[in-house]
Amino acid sequence: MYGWCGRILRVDLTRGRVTPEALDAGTARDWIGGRGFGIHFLRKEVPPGCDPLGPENKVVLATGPLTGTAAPTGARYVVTTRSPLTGAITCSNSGGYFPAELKKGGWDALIVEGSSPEPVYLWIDGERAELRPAGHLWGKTTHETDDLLRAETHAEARTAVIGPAGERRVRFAAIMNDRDRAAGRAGVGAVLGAKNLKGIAVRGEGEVALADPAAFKAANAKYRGRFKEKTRDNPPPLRLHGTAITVVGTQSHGVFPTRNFREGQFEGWEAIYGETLTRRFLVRPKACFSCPIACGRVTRIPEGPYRGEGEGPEYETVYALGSNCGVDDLAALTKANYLCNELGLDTISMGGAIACAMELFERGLLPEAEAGMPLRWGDGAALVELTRRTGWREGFGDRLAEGSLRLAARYGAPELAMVAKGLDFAGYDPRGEQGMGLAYATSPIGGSHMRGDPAYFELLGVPVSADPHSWEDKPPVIAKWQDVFCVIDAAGLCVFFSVRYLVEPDLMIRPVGITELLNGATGAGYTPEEVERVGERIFNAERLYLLAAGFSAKDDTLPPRMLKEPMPSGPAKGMVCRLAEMLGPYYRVRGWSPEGVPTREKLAALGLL
Amino acid sequence: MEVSVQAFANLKAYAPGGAGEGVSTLPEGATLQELLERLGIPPAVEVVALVNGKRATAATVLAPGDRVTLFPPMEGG
Repeated sequence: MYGWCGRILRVDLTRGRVTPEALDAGTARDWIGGRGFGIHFLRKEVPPGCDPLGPENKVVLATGPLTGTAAPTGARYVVTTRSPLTGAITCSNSGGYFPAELKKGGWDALIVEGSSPEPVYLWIDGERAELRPAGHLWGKTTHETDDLLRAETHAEARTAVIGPAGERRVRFAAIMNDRDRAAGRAGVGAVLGAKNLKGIAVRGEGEVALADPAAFKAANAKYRGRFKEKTRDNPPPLRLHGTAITVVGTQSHGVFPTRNFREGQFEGWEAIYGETLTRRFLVRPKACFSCPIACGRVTRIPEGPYRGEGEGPEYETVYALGSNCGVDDLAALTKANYLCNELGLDTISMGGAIACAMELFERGLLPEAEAGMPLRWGDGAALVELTRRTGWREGFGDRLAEGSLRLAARYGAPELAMVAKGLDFAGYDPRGEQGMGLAYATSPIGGSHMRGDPAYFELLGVPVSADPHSWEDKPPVIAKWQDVFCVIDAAGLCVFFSVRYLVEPDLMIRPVGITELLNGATGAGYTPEEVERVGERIFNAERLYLLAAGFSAKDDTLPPRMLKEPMPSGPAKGMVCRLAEMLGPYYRVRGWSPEGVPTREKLAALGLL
Repeated sequence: MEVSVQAFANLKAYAPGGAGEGVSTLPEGATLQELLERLGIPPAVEVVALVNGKRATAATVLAPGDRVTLFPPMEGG
């Protein structure tokens, strides 16, 4: 095979065995890789009713055919499993260098199953793989674990590990690769923790074989050339200031979530946005494998109680730990971000849980004696301490570790959790961004922006602009973006480059450039329509899994605050999310019944019957 | 008439005063396009523009006291 390695490693933790398996050519073509492989294997092998933290659940870690190639941003992998936070699936993805290393080692995917009686780690040295004892690593932070694993295996090995949060099954624990990159969302780290798998170290020195090197090179040169041409006059904002520059887009539109989504503008935004981060803490930008953008931030807090070094914060973290908790102390939120990276926590759900706790406290529903401290909006010291306690499940951190929805329900106000399907929203208030409301409500993993991110065209002008306040025109656009994001996540690419340069620059983003690169790598001879069809197949397969797991159209919803409480101020003042008006047309566009179930005709057309 | 301008990232240098924020004086009835020209933003430089928090186009007519926000297109989040 070309593009694909043709090999999957099955890791049976119960028996302590690792077994290479062949990747079937039909599976590769029909699902491309990454997120596609994830849902394909999950549907085949994981009962939808299983306990997410039990041995029946499996974790699929899958690269795409472009991962590890010279394709721009060919850096990514996707972790698919049943989420302990939501009970839905999650397909969390990450870049850095670990995914490319895994691919160069000769592996398209790992399927991790069962549960080990004792802590172990997986060492993959090219085509050889073994499980090793990890008792001495238990309790170590992600950074300590990365250091120790590389010392024990190979100095240039790349790692993906869990921290204390994953070991303690914090329901939003992340898998951290290359120290500070996160497959963050919906508790993939807790699933590894429950399986007693502390981490994976991989060394891969091979090259990904290409079907048509000349065609691949030509496509690569063409799209990298477009990037160079565009950025001659338009230096990439994400390289200049990291993703935290996005604050200017959300704050100016009045959709920058503030104090648990009560408001859409934060009075302290200038203290925490990307340009301030650059001025105060930036050491250097950092790129993932084969990426020309370099949005990553190596940062240093030079003085004060939070003095230290690390990576971040990203936009989502600035929202979640900053404006959404009312915190304008950039040093405190950066320190809380460092702690999330080191303990292995999703910064978005960490912030969601703390913001929710702060509102419960303000309303008198959460007594100070239980919280262990006053939980006041804007208290940076409390933010840092609560983050630390959550990672170790100490004191009130043990309650925060259950996530915002369980926390809010415990104190009698589940409506105060700003979630869809139990997953905390990203940093966009759907009242002032209607398409985002539909995207949150219909995302297979819940409140994620990365399953078809309308902020690009509703707020940020990429690849073109649409009105963030309109809803009538959104259903077909959201469906198309969801499908194309499935393709990007399957191919092994990053959305940041793909949505600007590898799709046709209009609202319906045909994946023409992605198709050219896939064909050069794999020789599959896809048309852009076939590639879109794969995206639609992945999205529908994820939907089928959700339905089998007990979800239904009633779960395609948002909290009452988004649907009934008008935005109190700012450019979106007076608006609510018009989800009810969008859902029916969305189901029709998708070829789903009014109950949100894919029709037989649709499933037949997608080869899913 | 006067409008206030706030600009970000690579567009900061084009704001009146060159430091990201300032006041621009324009003829009554001027459009956003005329403001961008007055600020010296070259046509090859891409701009997302809001007027008083609402998305604006080149043809949007400005009014005295408007708040104009300018930032480059960006991939978010």
